[in-house]
Amino acid sequence: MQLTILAFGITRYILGDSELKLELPDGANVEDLKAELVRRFPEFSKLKALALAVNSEYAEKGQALYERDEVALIPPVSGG
Amino acid sequence: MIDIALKETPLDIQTCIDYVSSPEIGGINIFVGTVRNHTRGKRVLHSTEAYEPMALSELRKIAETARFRFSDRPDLHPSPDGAVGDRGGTRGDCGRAAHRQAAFEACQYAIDALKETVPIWKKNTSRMEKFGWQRILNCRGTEVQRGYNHRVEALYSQMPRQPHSMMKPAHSYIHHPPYSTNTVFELHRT
Repeated sequence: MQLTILAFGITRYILGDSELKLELPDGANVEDLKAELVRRFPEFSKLKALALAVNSEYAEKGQALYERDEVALIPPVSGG
Repeated sequence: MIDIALKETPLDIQTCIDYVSSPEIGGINIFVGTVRNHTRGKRVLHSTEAYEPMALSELRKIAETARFRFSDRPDLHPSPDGAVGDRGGTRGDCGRAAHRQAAFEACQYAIDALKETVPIWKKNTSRMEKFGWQRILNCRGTEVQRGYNHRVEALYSQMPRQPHSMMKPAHSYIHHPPYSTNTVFELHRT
């Protein structure tokens, strides 16, 4: 499945873009996505924390992903 | 009823007070957090960005949780609730209650929770006149995350010094006025 990943904060600078199209096997979950991100962009491993949001909600550990999900990379927030 | 909006207009504190005032209320607590113009000795400019739909839903959760947790007279009034604002890099947060203790607690809860969970990011930017561009130094300047700042700065220092203005356009969800900090987050009871 192809996912569209939205990037915010420092993750946008790591990707060099605010959006990334990523191909993952069907049945992949959020941990698989994180692993793929670290593999393609090793800088991600330097972040103290990285949360994922799926359809505007913080993702649970191991949450399954589906093709139409809107996935966002949420580095530590600062509340403005 | 809770009404939440992400705004670019300045937050009017009196409007917040008027909004939460009612005869049952014995205390209104307002917190305004301002953003420093310096980070570890360097003068910085600020800009913000937000994942807007999620920011709104997370703010709503905070408002609902505050009302549930800190209602000191639930039989009389389902308060306190909160107003959380951001203007010129300032954050405001308003809790109200029949008694002052709950108002203080609700106010603190709301601003602490906002900084934990609401996807709004602040960038501190230091001007590098020599190169004619702004180099991003770090993406947050809060005391509690100082260790994180160091790591982020180390990360940035390894990245190409790309002019900020040459970054690709942000996704449409990102509110990203260059170096203006007039975003307002209001969270109030109707």
